[in-house]
Amino acid sequence: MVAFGRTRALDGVSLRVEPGETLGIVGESGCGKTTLARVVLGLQPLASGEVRVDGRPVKGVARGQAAQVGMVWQDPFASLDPRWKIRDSVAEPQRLAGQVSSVEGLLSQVGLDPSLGDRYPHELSGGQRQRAAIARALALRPGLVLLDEPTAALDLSMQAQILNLISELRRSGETSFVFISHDLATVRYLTNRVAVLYLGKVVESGPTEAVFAHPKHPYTSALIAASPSIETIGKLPPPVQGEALLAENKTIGCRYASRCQFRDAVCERQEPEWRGEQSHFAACHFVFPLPGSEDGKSLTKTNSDV
Amino acid sequence: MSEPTPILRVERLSVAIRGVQILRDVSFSVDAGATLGIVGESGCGKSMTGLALMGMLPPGGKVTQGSVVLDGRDLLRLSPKEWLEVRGQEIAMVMQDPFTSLNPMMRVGDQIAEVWVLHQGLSWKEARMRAVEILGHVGVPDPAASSRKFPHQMSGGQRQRVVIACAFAARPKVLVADEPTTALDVTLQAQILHLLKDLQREAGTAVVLISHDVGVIGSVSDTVAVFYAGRIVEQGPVRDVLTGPRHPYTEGLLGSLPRPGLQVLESIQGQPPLFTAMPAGCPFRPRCPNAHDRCQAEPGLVEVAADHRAACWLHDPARPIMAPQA
Repeated sequence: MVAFGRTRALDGVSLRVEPGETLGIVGESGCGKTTLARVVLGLQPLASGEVRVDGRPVKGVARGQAAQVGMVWQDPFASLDPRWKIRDSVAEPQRLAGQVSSVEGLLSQVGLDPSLGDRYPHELSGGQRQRAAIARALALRPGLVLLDEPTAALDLSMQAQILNLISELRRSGETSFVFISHDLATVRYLTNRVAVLYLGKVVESGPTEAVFAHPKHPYTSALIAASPSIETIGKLPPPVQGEALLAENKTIGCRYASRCQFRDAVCERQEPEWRGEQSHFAACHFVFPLPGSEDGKSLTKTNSDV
Repeated sequence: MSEPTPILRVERLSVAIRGVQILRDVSFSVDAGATLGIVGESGCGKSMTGLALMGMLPPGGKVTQGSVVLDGRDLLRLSPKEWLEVRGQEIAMVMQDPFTSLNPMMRVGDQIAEVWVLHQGLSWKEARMRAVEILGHVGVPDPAASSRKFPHQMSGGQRQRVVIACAFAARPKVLVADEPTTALDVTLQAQILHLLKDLQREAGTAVVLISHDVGVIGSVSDTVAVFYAGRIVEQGPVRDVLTGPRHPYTEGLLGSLPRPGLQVLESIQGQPPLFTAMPAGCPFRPRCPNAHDRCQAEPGLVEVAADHRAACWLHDPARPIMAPQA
């Protein structure tokens, strides 16, 4: 758990990333996505709970963390020092770790011409800057790389280039990735497993295709339906009532209850337990949707935890 | 079906900023009650088009050619005084960030009421009462209390509802919405798009929706114009353009969208040209997989199907060039 004052930014979140796997973290503003990244990086003290990377616990603000976890932030213009050449930014982790730098290799690995190493960030395009930021995250060959909205600041054609690059790096299989995004289409494209966060809690997690094809939590279902896609020309996505407000942060009952079209008295009273099967779980009092139905509208109560 | 007359007709609009050509020969029209989507990437001129329609070009900006005719009247010939009457009353705008488009020092109810006080001569008292009414109408909870709030006391979604209430207050004939949902989460985005559609239907407003999000454009527009390097490279009915793109840029843009089941996205190589270093001929030539000698000359928009136009030599009716087989 991570708390800011009395606000629980993350509450009872449990997640695992297997070696070589890509985990997607999906959710809207303020759901705790970025706080989660900061926790794993050792930039954010925990109120309770534990984070382990490669078996070793992450303790508070840990300097050595960069060796184990690489980080790519949303805006490469803000995350690269404007007064440093690309080469120096990319080499910095290796320099601090006392290693011999291998900037050329890193730059070509991310599809940048090594000659661009002598440029400054403002001389590169947004896509090239993000490639440089990815090269820096890979510099110490960490077992885990976190990507926090790595394409949100980029145009569609640049986004496609970066997604293709991450997808290629994934396939090499050495590194695990955590891909944090509000954009469902990119998460579906890039990840094997996905966790859906809502106001600091994981409400659903499972294999990406299973979660997208058969969401079990009403929030996941609403989120998927609300995302306009090229497949639904001429159709407005159905609206979800209300807003996710952390100020209304509840400690009893389901956090999504106020917006949920299926809420019942029990949802206000009691926090839902995890239900599901075969690594696909949701925190909802109801199993969603009705077994065998695909429309996502039916619903049944259940008493059995599988 | 009778042909509706367009309420807004833009012809050969060209804009330069400090002598650098930004928009070139932009032509489109929108019918009353219809939505035109303008889609393109950063720096393609879509926002500049919106600002030109509103008579709000940035310092140094100048319309060098063309006309913007709203209900029979050329907006580009208006005096600054005439603009005060037209802007907000006949043509209104919703911008991306509701935090910067609202006055932080003024209660939101007063910001809406101001529209009626300025444009319709209502008293403040009456205008404030109507502001409460319209706040309820756009879905702001507890409208009476909310009207007395300052923008920072509201959430992003509520603020954007206030901006939309301001824009629709005078029931404008045309609304320019520049990335109205980009700063919002998807569940809120869906709410705001529904609200815009409902208000548009009630008031019969023509909407020019500017967005980088092809999904948003596809879900609410009737027609679409694809911008690249300050020009329209393709335009037509939204379904025709998005399901059967005819310009290589539109094709590349749609190919860049992640879709389930795809292994590799068809990204477009390179990046858009700078306005200060525009290549001769077709502006997409340096990135185009089909580039050809003919592309040294700039292609004009030609009809490729009913109401569907693309600016590419591939579709030159006289001498179509053949796309190389991939």
